[in-house]
Amino acid sequence: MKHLVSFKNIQKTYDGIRPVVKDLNLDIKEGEFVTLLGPSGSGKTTSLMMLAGFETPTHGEIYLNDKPLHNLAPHKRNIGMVFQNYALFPHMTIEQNLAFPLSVRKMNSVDKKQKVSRALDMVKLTDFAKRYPAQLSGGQQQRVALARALVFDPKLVLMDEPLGALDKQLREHMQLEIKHLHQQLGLTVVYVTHDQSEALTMSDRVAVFNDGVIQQIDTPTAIYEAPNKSFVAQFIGENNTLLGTFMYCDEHYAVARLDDGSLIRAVPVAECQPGDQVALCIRPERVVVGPAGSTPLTARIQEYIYLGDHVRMITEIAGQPNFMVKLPASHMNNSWTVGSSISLSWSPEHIRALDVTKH
Amino acid sequence: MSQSAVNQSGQTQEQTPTLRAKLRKSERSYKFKSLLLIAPLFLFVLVCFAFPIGTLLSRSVDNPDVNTALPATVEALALWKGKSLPNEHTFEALVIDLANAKENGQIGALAKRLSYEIPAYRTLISKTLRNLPASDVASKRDALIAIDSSWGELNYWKALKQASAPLTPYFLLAALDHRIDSATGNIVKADPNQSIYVDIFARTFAIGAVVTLLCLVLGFPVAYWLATLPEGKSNLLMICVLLPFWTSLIVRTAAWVVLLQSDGLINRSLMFLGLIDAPVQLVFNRTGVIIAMTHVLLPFMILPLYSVMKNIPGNYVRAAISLGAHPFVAFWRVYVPQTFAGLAAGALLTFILAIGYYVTPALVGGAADQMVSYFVAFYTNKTVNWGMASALGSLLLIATLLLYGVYGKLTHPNQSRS
Repeated sequence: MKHLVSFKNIQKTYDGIRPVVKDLNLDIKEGEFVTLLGPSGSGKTTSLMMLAGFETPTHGEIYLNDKPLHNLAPHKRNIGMVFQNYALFPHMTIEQNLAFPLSVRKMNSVDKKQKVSRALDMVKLTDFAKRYPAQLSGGQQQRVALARALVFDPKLVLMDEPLGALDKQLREHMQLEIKHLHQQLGLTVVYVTHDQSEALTMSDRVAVFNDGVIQQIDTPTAIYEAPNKSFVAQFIGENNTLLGTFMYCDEHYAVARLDDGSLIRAVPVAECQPGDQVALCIRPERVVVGPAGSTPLTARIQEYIYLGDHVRMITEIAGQPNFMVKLPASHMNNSWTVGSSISLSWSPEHIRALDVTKH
Repeated sequence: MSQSAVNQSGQTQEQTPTLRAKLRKSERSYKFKSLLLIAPLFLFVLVCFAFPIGTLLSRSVDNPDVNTALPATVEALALWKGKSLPNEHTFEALVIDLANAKENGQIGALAKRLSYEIPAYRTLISKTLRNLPASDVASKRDALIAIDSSWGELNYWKALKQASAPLTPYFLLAALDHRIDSATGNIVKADPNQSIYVDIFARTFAIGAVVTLLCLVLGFPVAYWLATLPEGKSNLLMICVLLPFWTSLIVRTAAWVVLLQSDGLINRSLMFLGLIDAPVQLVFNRTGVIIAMTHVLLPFMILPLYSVMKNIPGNYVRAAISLGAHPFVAFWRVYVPQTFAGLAAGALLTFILAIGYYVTPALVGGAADQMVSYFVAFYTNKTVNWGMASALGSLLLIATLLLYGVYGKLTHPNQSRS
């Protein structure tokens, strides 16, 4: 499929000393929903702003439809954009807000009216046409912002943390609504968020940013199940990290030794030499718990948290604390109390040997 | 649980009177304390501001001169219909009143007040006083008419009656170049050679409008720039904007005289640069007044604009640009309308201050550039015509209040929206 957007060797610095975006290479296919996910200051919003034209890259080139963007003024890029706090014009009614992109394009009033009413219909706000933004709830304002970014039929829509100001329930509802609009209208969406569940729910691909670099870009499943960096494993979802020393690779797996001497087999991801430290990462729900002594790996329960449908236990394993285990309430055993020992096991394809980060 | 709730509410009902009394007591002491706190300022404002201003403004309709000088005549004229000459009794009263007024030193005020109605009254009064008939003259009426035939004219008596009312619209009408014709009692235009006040008001508003417009044109970009700068830099520049506030108005105005005079810095620089051959007259005319007033009033435009602009997030303009608007269109259609509240406040403040200006036009303006305030001062200090001074002042105050009302109307819908 054709690439709609290509970032080629993009660098950006504001002060000439500290790079905000280090070397960004990213291709976005037409019709794709790509999320730029990362903590604040990771360069994701800056990248989006460079695509929108509100920031200029210090180095490199961005291509839209294979045409370089650097000479194209932001108002000529024809990119829809939804801003963090919606940026609805407070002195215009909802109708006037939606008509704004059409009137600056000198569209005739008949077409304009038709398009505005269709856009209002799309976000189910027809009754609110004559109101001012301040008279709408947060969720309604959000839908207006969405409709306004789509009313002039852009191919590409950028969204900068559009759901950040909404409460959890509304946010989840809007995630689905945006996803449906994306599918119905065949849009290409570049979405910026720091909320990992939002990224996983909506995206075709997720690009995880940290320190101005894309750490990993892949489908939500791969990002969650097969993180390639410790940062990604820790940033997305819950994660346990065991520090071990890399010994050797067998046919399929890397073998690492914990401080207490137990050997762990894990999927080899990080490049390392025997004797190097590795981070062994596993999701809490992949850990299987058995009675003490049933497997070679013994853990001591530090804390026990009952959550109704499931139970979390924070355990200490091989001298390393805060190893979390998550299991359905039905699998609970009454003898597992704080201070008692249990045995842990997992299948080696669920634990990954990653780089050691200093967190 | 519910039992205890019932108990509690029962108790509450029993306690209500005492509770209410307690509340009232505590509130009373609170109210007393707050009254005590504002009392000094309240008294100060009342005694030193509200009361004197109120008294002064009442002078614009107050009309005591004729009443106090000629009490008996006024009483005798009360029943006079104005169809024919007043009766002998009225003439007698006038003779007695004039003699008393002369003794009490009220003649000056009386003659001045009557001359407002008919200018010839001043000489008529002094002529009559010189030849005041003795008390044994049989017909005071014939005697007075013999002194001056004007006493036999209805007009003079009508004017006298009109000037004797306790309240008069005379000053307010005069401030609008109108008067009541003493013969017919209708409101008519004043003589063209006495009609100066409408022109003065028009001049005042024109200067105010030009200064406001200039302040807006000069202040808007500065306010915008200040609002977009980072905090530290904008604070520094704000000090520069506020700098004029820390210098006395008279010093600043005098400085403009130095700068703008024929041999001043500006004229010399222009001549040095070869832009002009002879000095341009920049001071003691309208140009000087407008330059100096614009400079003095600029902060009053910048500050309200800045405070509004600072609260407009930058992403509105970005949003407009992302929607396809040229940056200028985005600025004009999205940013500028959001500054209207500040713009209205700044323009109103500047205009109201401008139309009340006195010192600056007096120092840097010519005779044809003096504004209403100058004439208020003129009537107060030079001619001691307080009626005229307070009539002009009242009209200026009314104009200001009207403007304020318009401002309220203009900004109110915006406020209810946001």
